[in-house]
Amino acid sequence: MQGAPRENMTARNVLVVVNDYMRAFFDHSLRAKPSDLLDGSALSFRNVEVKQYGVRSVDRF
Amino acid sequence: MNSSSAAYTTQIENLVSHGYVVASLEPRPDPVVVSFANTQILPFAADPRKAHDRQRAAPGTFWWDGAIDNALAHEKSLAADLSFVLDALGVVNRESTQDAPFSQRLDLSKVGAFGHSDGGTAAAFACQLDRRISACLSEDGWTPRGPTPQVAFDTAPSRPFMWINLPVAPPDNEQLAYLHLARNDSDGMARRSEMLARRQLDSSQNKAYRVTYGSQT
Repeated sequence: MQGAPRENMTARNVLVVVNDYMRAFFDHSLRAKPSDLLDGSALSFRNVEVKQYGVRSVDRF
Repeated sequence: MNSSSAAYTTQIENLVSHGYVVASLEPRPDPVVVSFANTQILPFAADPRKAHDRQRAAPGTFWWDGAIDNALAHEKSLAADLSFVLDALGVVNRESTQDAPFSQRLDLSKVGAFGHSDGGTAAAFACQLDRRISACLSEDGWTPRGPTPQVAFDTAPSRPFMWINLPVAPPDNEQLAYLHLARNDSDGMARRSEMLARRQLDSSQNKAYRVTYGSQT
């Protein structure tokens, strides 16, 4: 079976990245769930860089 | 926010499958068509605020600021739409009707907003304008005045904020000609925008994240 066209693979990867970070962000911000995606310890995605700004030591929910 | 709800299908499904309730806005005039419950159908209508200033500007004049003001005005109106929907959800949540299956089940103390492009900037605005919104996510919401341009009481995100953005290549000569922009103006705009983005995120009163993705090969 042939693989999906490269364009589709790219779009799918972007969707996965956006979906995973979106939910990690809302889970963390609205449900106080920790996320290794947000603290930068996850190595799930190549070519993705996460920078954290602002208050680093105190969560304000 | 912005565009058709269908454009957000995978994100909405993701959130809903993990227990979130998602209200997707289709404010005119952005979606191709809006279908109301009373069978009224509103087709796409060009937003006069988006009238292309470039076409009205004389060659050699710097038209871009006017276009930015128009875009930001549009995005602020989207943020106001979001507040209107929150008001409506509050009413629905207090009532118990068969038409509102989630009534009395919405936790409106934990509200997040997200959107793409104009919708992303609108989400950033919404977090500044409406204190009921606790977290905002902007997907490729780019403006030459940074991802969270000043709208109300501060420029920095005061709520948890995430900016997911794909670095955009500088415009080529053909694009510059179309935009009536000189290379120096374009480069300067990009530098100022990046500087403002870092300043706004750095001075955030809460956690702010920037997720940058490059080529997905």
